[in-house]
Amino acid sequence: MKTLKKVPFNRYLIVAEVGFKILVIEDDAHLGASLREALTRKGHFVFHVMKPEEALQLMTKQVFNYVLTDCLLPQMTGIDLIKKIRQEIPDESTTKFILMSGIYTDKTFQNEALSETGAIGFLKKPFQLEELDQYIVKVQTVSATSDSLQESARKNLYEIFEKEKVSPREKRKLIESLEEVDGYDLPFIYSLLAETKTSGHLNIFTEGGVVSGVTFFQGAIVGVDVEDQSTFLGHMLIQSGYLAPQDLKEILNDKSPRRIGQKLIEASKLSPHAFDMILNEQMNVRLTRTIIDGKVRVNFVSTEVEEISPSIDSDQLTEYLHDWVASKIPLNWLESLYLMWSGQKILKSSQWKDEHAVLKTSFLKRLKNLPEKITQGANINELLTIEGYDAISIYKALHLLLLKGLIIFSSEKVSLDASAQKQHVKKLHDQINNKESSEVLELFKEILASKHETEWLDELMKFIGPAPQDQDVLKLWKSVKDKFDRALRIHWSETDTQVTSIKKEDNSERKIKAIRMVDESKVQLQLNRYAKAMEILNEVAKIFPSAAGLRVCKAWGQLGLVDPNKKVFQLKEIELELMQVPPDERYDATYPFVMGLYQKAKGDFVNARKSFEKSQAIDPSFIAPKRELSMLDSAKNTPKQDVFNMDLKDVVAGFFKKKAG
Amino acid sequence: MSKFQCKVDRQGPKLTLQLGGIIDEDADFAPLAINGAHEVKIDLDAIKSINSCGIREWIKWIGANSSAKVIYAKCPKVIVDQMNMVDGFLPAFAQVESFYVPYYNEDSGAEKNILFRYGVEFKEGQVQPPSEVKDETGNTMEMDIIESKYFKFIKSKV
Repeated sequence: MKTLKKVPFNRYLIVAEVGFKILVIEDDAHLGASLREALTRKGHFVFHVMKPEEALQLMTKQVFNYVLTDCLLPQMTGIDLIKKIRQEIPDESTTKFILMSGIYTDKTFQNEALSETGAIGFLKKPFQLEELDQYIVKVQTVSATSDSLQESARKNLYEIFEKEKVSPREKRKLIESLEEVDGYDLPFIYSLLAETKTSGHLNIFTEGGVVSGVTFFQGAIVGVDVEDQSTFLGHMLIQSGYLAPQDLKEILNDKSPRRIGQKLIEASKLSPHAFDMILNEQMNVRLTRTIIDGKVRVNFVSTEVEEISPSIDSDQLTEYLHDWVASKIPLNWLESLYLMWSGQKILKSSQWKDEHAVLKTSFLKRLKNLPEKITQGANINELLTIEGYDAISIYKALHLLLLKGLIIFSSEKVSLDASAQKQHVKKLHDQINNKESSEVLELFKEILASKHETEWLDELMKFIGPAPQDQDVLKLWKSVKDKFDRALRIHWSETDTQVTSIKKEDNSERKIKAIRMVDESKVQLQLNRYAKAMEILNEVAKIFPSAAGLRVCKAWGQLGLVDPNKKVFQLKEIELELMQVPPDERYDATYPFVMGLYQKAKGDFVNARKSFEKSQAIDPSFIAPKRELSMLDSAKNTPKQDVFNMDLKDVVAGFFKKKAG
Repeated sequence: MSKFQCKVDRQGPKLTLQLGGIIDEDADFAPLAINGAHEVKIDLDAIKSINSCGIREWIKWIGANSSAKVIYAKCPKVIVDQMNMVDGFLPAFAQVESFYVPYYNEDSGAEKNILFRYGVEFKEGQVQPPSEVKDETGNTMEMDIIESKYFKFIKSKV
């Protein structure tokens, strides 16, 4: 089993812009002393030794940020000394070496010395102090401006996906080590905190300065604090079937200062248990709002917390995880996350249980015999070639299984044979073929995480593998390599700030445009102009795929265009679309209306009627459900309610709903 | 569960606030007006936790100060984390006099908080931890934090 990376403990940690710990190895006492004095004046902590063995002795006791060594030393060359340090000193990995020489100044020698030792620079003596100073500052600036520390903390978090056992303390420590993460990492963090049965507050900060928080009591979520507290409580009660619209109206007319839930329970219109279920759903909606497309900073404060009811326990969290993975996490983000494991075997972990609730969720059910494929040691690349398996379901199902710890990736790196490499290169080619350079790097961000930019090309080349023999595959391989080259050249020619600000500006503009287009499509849909609506919605999917209302409207449009000859297949597609509607978009009038259309298309007229009624109750001015209800009435073919074939949610709702008086 | 508590000690232009318990939505900062004082020392030793509502309240309260010199003393880890992460939690006019650093021994599982004081264990841009920290049974303890993350606030200010 791999152990988690431990951050080396620096005996003297210097965190200022200046103030590195530097060891100078120079047998010229005068030059050594001058360097020491000059660097000390710059605010560094400098040690000077004249012999290699003194340096070795010192380095076994202390960790240095930089080692400057002369090439020609007594008993040993500076090059051999660096090699020896690398072999013998366990904590040297954070140290950067700089070579200096007044004799070996030949360029070929310098290049060879740098490549042999991995030193970051070679200074020809005599040199101006600024040369060294600028060099150190340059390296420091890169590490200070890069997100390598954060990326590495995040990478460590996902290394759990390769570990059979991780202790609760290790999990907590991993979460504590995080600072900046993707909004899409939050479901995993919630799941880990739930598994560790921990109590405390997870504070979340967005780039825009918004502070949110999730409170855990022994692993159960007992509170969610978000900026937008609106949660459509009334709509939730109606949609869930716990409350009739007229009952809600009655309660809303009661102007006493008690809370709406209290009023409903006291009036025997709702059971306390049903209300708790709605309050949990309210927390789900709020949690959904924390999962954003963008960076967030997180901080977990471990503390005693009061037990509060209702709460989201592990089972319910599984259900919500499915909702979030289905509706919030985009496919391209998952593709990027799992790229590094795409050729590694998927294994069942010791936590695998055939009857686990995750295996009963919709994405898992869409993939026939997935548990068997996992038992056979399939990898992601292989799963993607199975007929009937679609990429969305594969990535989302695997993500869910990994979040719940039911599967892990084999830590053995698989060396690809010719046919596997062909498959691998072809898949990469397809993934990046029509992508912009920035999107190519975005796709590989997990692989490049924690690597210095100068190592990116090497890292990408390692991932694609050596040039294949087969001429057709070689053509694809070259095309992929060219894409990498081009993406990196463009990246290096632009500053991060420029790219970020352009991206942000572009993002908000696209978002506004997308919202306007979704509204426009709704108008077309209400006029039954489905083809026109779909044209607009397909455009929205391209410019801003996470636009609110996109999925519901797309499902509406698709339902309007169902071809009777392809009905079964098309309804499956629509089902997938509806599964991906985020929880916070399910409580307006459109969602139950579209659900009604879907149920009607499946021939389930009883539930279709209910859905249309819910939609109409939420927004009486919405004409479309009224029209559908009239059509159902005129068809007069509504069968009697059959509890054995009804939606389970509606059956349960019927039990909990109380009648007045 | 310890609710938010505050003890106020005013001596001429110098104000000392001893805060304790939980900083959350119930923490009331309204009576703790710091304007008018020349120097305000906030002793945070007894703070147990802070949630998102508490963070918002804190920023609102501390940000309303216009003239006093503010000193944070005995900051526990929960406060240091916020200073490092949340803009406005440690505003430009505030200084840190001392803060706790958690230590841990992997073999014995012992945990201990060591107070780092300005001018002794840290100063502008530098941290010089004690040469050795031992637990009750004499085992050497290591810092139980990620240094580059935990000491970040010292980079820009003390």
